[in-house]
Amino acid sequence: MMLRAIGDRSTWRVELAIAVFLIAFPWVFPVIGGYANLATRILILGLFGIGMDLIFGYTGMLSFGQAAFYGTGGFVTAYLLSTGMLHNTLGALAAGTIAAACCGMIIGYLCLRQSGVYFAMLTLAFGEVFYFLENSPLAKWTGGENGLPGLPKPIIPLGFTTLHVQSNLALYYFVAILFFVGYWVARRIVRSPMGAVLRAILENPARAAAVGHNVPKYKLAVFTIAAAYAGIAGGLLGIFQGYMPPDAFSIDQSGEIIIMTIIGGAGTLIGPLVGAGLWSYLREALQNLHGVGAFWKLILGLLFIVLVTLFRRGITGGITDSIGLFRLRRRTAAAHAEEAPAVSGEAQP
Amino acid sequence: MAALLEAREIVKRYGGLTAVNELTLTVEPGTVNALIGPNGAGKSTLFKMLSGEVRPTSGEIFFKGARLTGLNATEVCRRGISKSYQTTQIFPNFTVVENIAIPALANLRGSFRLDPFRRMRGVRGLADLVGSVLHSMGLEERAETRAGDLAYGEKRRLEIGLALATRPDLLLLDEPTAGMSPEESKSTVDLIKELRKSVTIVVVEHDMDVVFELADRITVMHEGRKIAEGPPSEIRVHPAVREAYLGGTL
Repeated sequence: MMLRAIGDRSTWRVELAIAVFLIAFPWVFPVIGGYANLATRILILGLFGIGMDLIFGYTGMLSFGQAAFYGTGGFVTAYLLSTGMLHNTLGALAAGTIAAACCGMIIGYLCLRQSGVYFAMLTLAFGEVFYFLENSPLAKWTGGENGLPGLPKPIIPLGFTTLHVQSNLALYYFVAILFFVGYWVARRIVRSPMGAVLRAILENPARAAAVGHNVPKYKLAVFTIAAAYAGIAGGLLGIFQGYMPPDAFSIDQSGEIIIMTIIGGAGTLIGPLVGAGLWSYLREALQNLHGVGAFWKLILGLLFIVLVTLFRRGITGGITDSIGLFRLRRRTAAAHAEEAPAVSGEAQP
Repeated sequence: MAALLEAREIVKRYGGLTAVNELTLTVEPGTVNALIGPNGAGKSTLFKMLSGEVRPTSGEIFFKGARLTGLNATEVCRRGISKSYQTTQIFPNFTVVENIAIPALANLRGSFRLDPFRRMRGVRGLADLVGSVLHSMGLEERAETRAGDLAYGEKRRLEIGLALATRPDLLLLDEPTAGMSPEESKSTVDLIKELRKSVTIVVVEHDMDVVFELADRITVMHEGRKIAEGPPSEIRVHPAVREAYLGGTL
C-alpha cells in the first residue's frame, strides 16, 4: 500500500496513448496543413528535448549548451555515413550518441563544479567552444560552415533482411520508433529510484546531499544521459535531411530547445514535443501566411510570452493540472454525496 | 565504554571571529545530550561541524573510532550521523511518503547507484523503512499529503523523520521544538523519548524545560567555549552557568 503511494502506479496507458499518437500523427497532421517531414522534424526536436527536460525539468539544471551535444552526435553520425565508413544507420547513430554522451560527461564534469547561474554560463561557453571547433579546426572533417552533405537514406540490416527507408513517411516512422524508445526509457528513468533522487535534487539539493545522496554524481549522470539524447537527435537530423547543418551547434539551437521545453511543459517529458510541435508548426504556418510572414518571429514571441504567463508549468503542465483539478472536484463531490448522511449526527473536529 | 562521538579541541574561525574555540565534546552511546547556551554561543556552528556541513579550522572529530574530520555532509551521513534542521528543510512538493523515501533510498541504495530501470518496488526494504518512520513520527494519516501543505508542527516532525529515515547511529536535533505551541512541544518531547530507545541523540534547544526533561548530560557553551558540562542536576546549580546564561532565573 505504501509503495503505491511512492509512485509505482502502473502507467502503460500513457505509453499507449503516445504510441497511438505517434502512429496517427502523420495522417492527422495534414488536416491543419502539416506534412510528414514537418512531423519528423518535430519528433527529432522532441527527442532532443527529453534530454533537456531530464536535466532542467527533473533535476533543475539549466544548460545553455545542449547544442554542443546535438551537433556532436549529428556530425559523428554524418561523418561515418557520408564517408561510407559505416553503412548501418543504427550503428552510426549509436556511435554518434556515444560520442555525444562522452562529450557530455567531460563537459558536465567541468561545468558541475559550479551550480545555478555559473553552471549555466559555463555550459554556454562550452557550447560556443564546440561551435568554433566545428567551424574552424575540425572543418576538414565537418565541412566547416558548409556542413556535411550526402548522407544516404537509412539502411538497417536486420540479419534476415535489410530495411531501406525511402519515403518520407517511412522515415517518419523510423524516427517515431526511436522517439518512442527514447520516451519509454526516460519514463523508466524518472520513475526509478534514481529518478526520485533527481527530483529531490530539484526540490532541495542541500537536503538531498545531507540525507546521503551523492548529488554531484547524480547530476553528472543525468547530464550525460541528456547529452546522449541530444546526440541521437542530432544524428537523426542529419539522416533525415541527408545533410548535417553546422547550425545544429549554434547558440540559437540551445536557446530554442530551452524555449520549447518551457513552453511545452518542463518536468513532463512530453512537454518538449508539444513545444517543438507548436513552435515548428506556427513558424511554417505564419511564414506562409500572406502579409504576416515577415512578422512570424514577433508573433511567436508574443504568443510565448502569453503562454509562459498563463501556464507556469507549460502547456502540458496546464492540461494535466486541469485534469487533476477536475478529477479532484469530482472525487470530493462524490465523497460529499456519500458521507453526507453518515456524518449528520457526529461532531466534526 | 568507548565514546560514540568525540570532538577534540575543535576550532572554527570565520575571519577574525572565533565561533567555536577549542571545544571538546564526548557523546556516549545510548544517551541524550543537550547543547545549550545563549544566542551566538557557537552551538549551530558546532552542529555544522559534526554534520560535515562546515570544516573545522583545527581539531579532530572521531565517530565510532574513525576520523570524521574533512568529510562532507553526504559522507558523514553515510557514516551514521544525521541532522534535523532548525529551519525546516523538507521537499515541499513531494508527498510525506515521498519525502521519507528520499533518505530511505540513500540508506538502502547507497550514496550513488545507476539504476534507471529499477522500479521503486524493486528497492528491497523501502516500504518497511518508510512505513516504520511514518509510524514513529505519527504521520501515517498524512502520508499522501503534499509536504508543503502540512501544519507547522507536522512539518517539524517530518523534518525529524527525514533525519531518522537515514537510520543514523547519532541523531542531531537542532531546536526541534522551535516555534511550537506548548502541546506540540510536549508531543515532540514524547517523540524524542521514544527515539532515544534506538538512537543516540544530541539536541540543541532553547526551552530549558525540554532540556532538563530530556537530557542525560548537558553541555553549556558561551562565546564559543564550553563553560560547563554534566548531568542536569549539576548544571542547574552551576554558578558559572547561572551567571553566563541562565541569569539566575532558575
